[in-house]
Amino acid sequence: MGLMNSSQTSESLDLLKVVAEEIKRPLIEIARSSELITLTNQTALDSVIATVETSANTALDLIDSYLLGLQLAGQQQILQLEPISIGSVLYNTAHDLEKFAQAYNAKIQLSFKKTQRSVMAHSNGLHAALVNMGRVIIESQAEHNPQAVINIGLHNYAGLIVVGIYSDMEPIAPAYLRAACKLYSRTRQPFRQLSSSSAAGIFIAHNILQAMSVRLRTARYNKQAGLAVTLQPSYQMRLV
Amino acid sequence: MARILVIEPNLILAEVYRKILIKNKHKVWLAKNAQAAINIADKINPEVVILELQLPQHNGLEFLYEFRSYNEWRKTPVIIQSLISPNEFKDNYILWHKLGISSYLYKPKSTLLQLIDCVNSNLSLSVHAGI
Repeated sequence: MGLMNSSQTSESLDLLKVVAEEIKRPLIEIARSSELITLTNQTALDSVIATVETSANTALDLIDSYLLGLQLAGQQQILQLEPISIGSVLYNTAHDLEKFAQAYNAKIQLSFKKTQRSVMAHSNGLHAALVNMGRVIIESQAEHNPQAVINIGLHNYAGLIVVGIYSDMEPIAPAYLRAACKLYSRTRQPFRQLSSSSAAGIFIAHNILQAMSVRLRTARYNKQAGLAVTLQPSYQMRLV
Repeated sequence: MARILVIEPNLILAEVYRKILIKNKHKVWLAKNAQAAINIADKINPEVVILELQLPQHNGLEFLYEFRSYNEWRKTPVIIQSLISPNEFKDNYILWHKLGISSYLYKPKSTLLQLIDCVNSNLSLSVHAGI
């Protein structure tokens, strides 16, 4: 891990605080679900075990993504973006969100043409950013909509490629997103209209994307609203 | 058997609370946000409310102001079970007292058994007080 300057250190400490708050949630889910088994001699054990597994994976991913963001920020001077197949990143994202979505009665859909393409990015970073954004959107949608459909979408815009996670949520204003990304450690619910949680996943995604020199933004796609990132297409891999 | 309204935005936890309360012979209604909670309260007239303060849109405090503004719910026991830490909770003790909070449980530290005990003791207090 490279050296960080004082403002990066302070930012990462702020984010750590939010991650610590957020991580309590899956851990409480695990603790109470396990207690429920012992108190009720659950016959439907499978569903409880599935919940425990999903919650534990969520907690682990949260820590892992935080550390990845920290690592990428530390390497910022030398972080090399490379041509990656965006399709495979999106498939992996959908796969990783599938069980989490099931736990919240939501459905994941992939929405892009198979012919699309390669982009300049850091593969692990982009994947972690999308998964973290996706979790916040799934969780928040479950609070409003009993059977939410979450789209992982990709479209072209002015020669660039926009990759995002979309749902029927209220659109977030760009200024609101910018303000939340500055204030996240000073308020418990920076996206109060969207979620009851600290929405740490959004700030982890913001951190990772920042380290990749791209920006988290609000976007609309197929009449749905969501969070996205704009990436440079890679022409190099198209020739291969 | 009592009518219990659980206001909990986390679906996994809400389901856990529902199961353990039903196991203890209570009738349970779940609400994910303050508006839904008021609508359900209007229909079922809850005997106990379990409330998470961190809710989407209108928070738990706004719910409490609204809930307590109705005569029939002025004395309904409200148990706060929240991620808000004991220190933060203590800072606003007078406010909570004013809003008639009967118990506070810190989510990371309180077990399901404590929740059940808390519900049952609030119910027996209500009976003694003739609520």
